[in-house]
Amino acid sequence: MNPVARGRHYRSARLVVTVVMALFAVYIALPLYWLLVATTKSNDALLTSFGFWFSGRFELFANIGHVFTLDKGVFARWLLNTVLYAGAGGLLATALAAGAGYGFACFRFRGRQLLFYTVLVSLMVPFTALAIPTYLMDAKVSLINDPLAVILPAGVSPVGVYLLRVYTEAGLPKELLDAARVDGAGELTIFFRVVMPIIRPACATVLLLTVVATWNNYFLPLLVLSRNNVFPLTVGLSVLNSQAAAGEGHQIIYTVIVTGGLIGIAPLIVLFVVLQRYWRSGLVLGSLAGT
Amino acid sequence: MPALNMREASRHSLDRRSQRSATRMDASTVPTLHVKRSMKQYGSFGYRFIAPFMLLFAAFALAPLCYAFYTSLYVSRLVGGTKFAGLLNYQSVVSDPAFWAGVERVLEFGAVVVPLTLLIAVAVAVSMDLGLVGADGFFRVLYFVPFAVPGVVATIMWGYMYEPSFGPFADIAHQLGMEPPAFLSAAGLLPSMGNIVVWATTGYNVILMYTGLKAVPHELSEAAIIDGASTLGLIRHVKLPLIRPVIMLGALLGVIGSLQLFTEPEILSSLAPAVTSSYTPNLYAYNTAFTGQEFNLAGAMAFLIAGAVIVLATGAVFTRRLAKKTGYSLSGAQGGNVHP
Repeated sequence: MNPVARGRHYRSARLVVTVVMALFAVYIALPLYWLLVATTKSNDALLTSFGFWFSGRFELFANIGHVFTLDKGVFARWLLNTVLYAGAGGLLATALAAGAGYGFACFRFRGRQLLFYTVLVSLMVPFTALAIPTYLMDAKVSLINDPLAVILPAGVSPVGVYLLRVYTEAGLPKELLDAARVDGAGELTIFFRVVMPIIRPACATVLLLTVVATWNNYFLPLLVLSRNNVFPLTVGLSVLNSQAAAGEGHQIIYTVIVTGGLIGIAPLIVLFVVLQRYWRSGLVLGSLAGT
Repeated sequence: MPALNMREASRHSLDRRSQRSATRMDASTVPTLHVKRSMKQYGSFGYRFIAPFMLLFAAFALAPLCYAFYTSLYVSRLVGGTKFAGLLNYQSVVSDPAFWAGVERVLEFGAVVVPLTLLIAVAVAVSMDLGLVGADGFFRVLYFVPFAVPGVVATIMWGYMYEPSFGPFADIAHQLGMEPPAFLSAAGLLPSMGNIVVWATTGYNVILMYTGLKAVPHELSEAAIIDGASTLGLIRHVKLPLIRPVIMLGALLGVIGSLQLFTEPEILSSLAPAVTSSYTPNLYAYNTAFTGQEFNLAGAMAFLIAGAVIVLATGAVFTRRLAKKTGYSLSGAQGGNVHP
């Protein structure tokens, strides 16, 4: 039985709590609701009708069609690019973080603490701080317009290393490692046959987090990619937005932007709902380790 | 190469189901003296496991900073080419009022947005934790959804809603006979962006804090209530102090994020002419590089911004480490003989 329920002022507490949670829920849902409604309108309806309610014919499917036929199907290209960058970046980040997490957790070596502190510091330095320096460096080594310019930086996930180290330390019994070593198994074999099966849930969490971070990355791709056909969704949508504002004369453009936006966020939201338990467990880990 | 049957036996010993079979040889019966390797040999494998990550880290986190610094020491002129100029670019940046205006702006921004975000997050997280409302799972997912939405789309959504000509808020204002709120004017722009950032980051903080609160043992709350604590008292004296680390972390990340503000002003600049080219430091650096084509100067700016963040982050990491005793023992740094 909820301890608070036995306390005084139960009813007023319940009212306050419900109001707070409901208000916040409305606040969060508001722009998403607006977006959904907006994608069902034609361009004229979008510009003239009331934003929070439907108007005119249901144009969602027509709008989706417009999105994908724009500019000879460049949107599909952007979507594919995003999937590629996020997928490859996420896999790379998880693989590297798993190895590094294991290395930091289960081995003692000189400079271990210092190196880990470096990782911790960089944990708090966001992508954006390094974007311009990375661009300058990439320009020098001719990495511009190369998908690797987005995928490789995405593979550096200090958060992943941190989470996996904590998880490995907590969940991997030393006896298992000792037994395997005594048995004569090589270190790599140990990693793949003994460690990986145990840290798999944490790896799933890190994969989810890095996929999301790379999917949503904007500043770096904006800088290092200049050709239309290598843009991810974030950059593509931004380009469309500037074009619309500059009045490029395309009648359809606003609906394309909002519908494109919806298509851009739908996969991740679905992923989030379906894979709930992975980011939940990751947060438990993160918040416990931080306290 | 060790005998195959020993490996088989060990694998079985790892499998709990066959632990009872006494006839099998397992790891504990094997004499360990002659197969025990030195700790140093194990230690070197540590390097190999962290190497791939550290290499990529060096290439894409450290090298860019070094190169940005290196570039910032030069100046490119149409006449005379690229020449070494020492700290000239830094002098230019530091004496540029537009740059400082941008810095002031993001500091102001952070000073409002971060406390607001944390306040709302605490209120919502505590509310959720009290468990007086059902459908917990639904709220948890809903509140986390903004995390999945890229800044670009969030800014587009809110930006279009802010629009005075076709936005829904303007429509509501007209219905009520009022002037539409000037979200995208020079005065209203910063709060409007603040709202976008609050929308995007509060949910994440709520879930983080809620997770921390859930880790508080039930017995603590029960004991407090038995001792006569009111609900408010319980919150103030038991729950909040326990999630203070989470709040501090949220504050730090929030401040660092505010300093980096780029996406929101950049996207809004096409909707709101009030966004100047030097609105935030990152935006200024971006425009300096791409519109102004002054890469060395941009490098200096970017290095300063990144440097400020790194200093903040380093300070935070070290004060936290000093303030609390953690389980990560420091003896590893001396290559000590601690067993794995």
